[in-house]
Amino acid sequence: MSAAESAIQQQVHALYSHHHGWLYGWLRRKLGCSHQAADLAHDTFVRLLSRREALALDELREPRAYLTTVAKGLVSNHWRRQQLEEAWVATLAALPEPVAPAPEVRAILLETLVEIDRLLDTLKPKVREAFLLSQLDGLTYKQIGERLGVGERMVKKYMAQAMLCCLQADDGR
Amino acid sequence: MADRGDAADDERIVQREAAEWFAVLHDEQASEEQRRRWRAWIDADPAHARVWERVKAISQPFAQAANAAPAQALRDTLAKAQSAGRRRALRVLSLGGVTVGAGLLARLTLPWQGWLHEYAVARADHRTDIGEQRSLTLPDGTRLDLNTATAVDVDFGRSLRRIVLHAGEILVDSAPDTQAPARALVVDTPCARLTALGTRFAVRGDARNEAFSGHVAVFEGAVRISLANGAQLDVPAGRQARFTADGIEPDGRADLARESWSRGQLVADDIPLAAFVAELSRYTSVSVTVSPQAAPLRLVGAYPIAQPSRDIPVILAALESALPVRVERTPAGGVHIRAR
Repeated sequence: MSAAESAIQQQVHALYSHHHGWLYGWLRRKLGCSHQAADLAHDTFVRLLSRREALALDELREPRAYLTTVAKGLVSNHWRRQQLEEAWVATLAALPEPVAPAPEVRAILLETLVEIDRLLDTLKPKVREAFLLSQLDGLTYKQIGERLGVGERMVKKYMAQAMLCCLQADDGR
Repeated sequence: MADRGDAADDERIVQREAAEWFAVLHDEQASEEQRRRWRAWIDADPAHARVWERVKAISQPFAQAANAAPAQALRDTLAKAQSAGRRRALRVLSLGGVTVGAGLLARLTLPWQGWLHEYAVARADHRTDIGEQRSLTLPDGTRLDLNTATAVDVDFGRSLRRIVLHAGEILVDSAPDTQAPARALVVDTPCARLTALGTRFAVRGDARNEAFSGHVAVFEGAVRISLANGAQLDVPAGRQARFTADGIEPDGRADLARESWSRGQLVADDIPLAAFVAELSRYTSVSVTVSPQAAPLRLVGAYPIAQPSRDIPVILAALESALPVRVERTPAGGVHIRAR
């Protein structure tokens, strides 16, 4: 274990023993559900453990401000996931009955959609649409260009922008 | 600190290069030379290979999802969640409105095609129920008649006026484009693109057992049929042709019945009773069957079909006087036609 990793573990351990109860209460008020609050409190500390660098001085000085920043990110992911789940259920409900996918396939696909949504979150609408038309529909640049009313060179530019954004979204993890 | 900053800059440069290669390689026009240069780029630096692995990992969830569900269902879900999340409703909803269109041409071999097709029908811009007919005037003045049980999307873009026929039958009476330069008017079906060459024509699609077959009858001008496999045929006025994903076959002179429905008429131009009943069945959910003895009897006549629920009983009664047949109700609630 590197010195940095052991320093992080010690810091997180200290934060956990002093602030876990407080964070759990904060999350319960925000979410209105004790189970979800317990899950997200746990996730918050797991997230801290996966950091590559030790906490900075100002983060340690205001530990609760820091913890709520991380927890807020998780809460917003949580809502986003719920929205996706609702949208997915609604989409599936609109599909013809005999061809609806099996429950286990639906669940796996929801996970995949959460992942895709996270990757594409910051993209501009046209860039996002071009990327989806290419990666999901399998359209050619020419077809995408016709669809979006732009030239093929612009589509290629969109594709590069989208992939760069995805690579950077992965960086932030 | 300075080192770390440089390393982060280097990483960003490699990421940008990888993203550009990704865009180049996904282009259907990527050349062998470009692929060779891309491989050289990967070999040039372990950092390149490492970032390229991440590009591949990022593509994976998209490929998984596309193989398991129709792309439009996935895009709808993502768009819905986005609009719910951000409340920027107008901007995002306009994304959700993109139609299936050309995707059908490109993805014929994917396992969910049947599902995709039913989804497209259910979500089409314009639909008629069994026995229903409707006329539309498109933004460019083109007149579009929808026959019974039909589903179409109208997708006018910057370079194309596209009508997507998912099911049923349409009659297109094309107008000159209101824009200059004029955009081509096309009808996309799951297995072919029909390009109007100044024209009035009827297109009909039949999806049976996952296989789609189409039929086009041309009354004015000409229509070019293009299949995904490259096959092409120009059908001139007065002629008709049928097509599947595999081929195109001329089908003699244009059958007036393929146009007459738009005037509320079902025309039988010396055709077997079985063929007439097959046509009639498209307008009603009641099962109509013909006995083998009655099936080959030939029928000539024009029958009104503007209001199927009212007109079909009249047509059935008229058959009894036109041909030596008896029309009977079956216990199951259907209709059976037998020779007298």
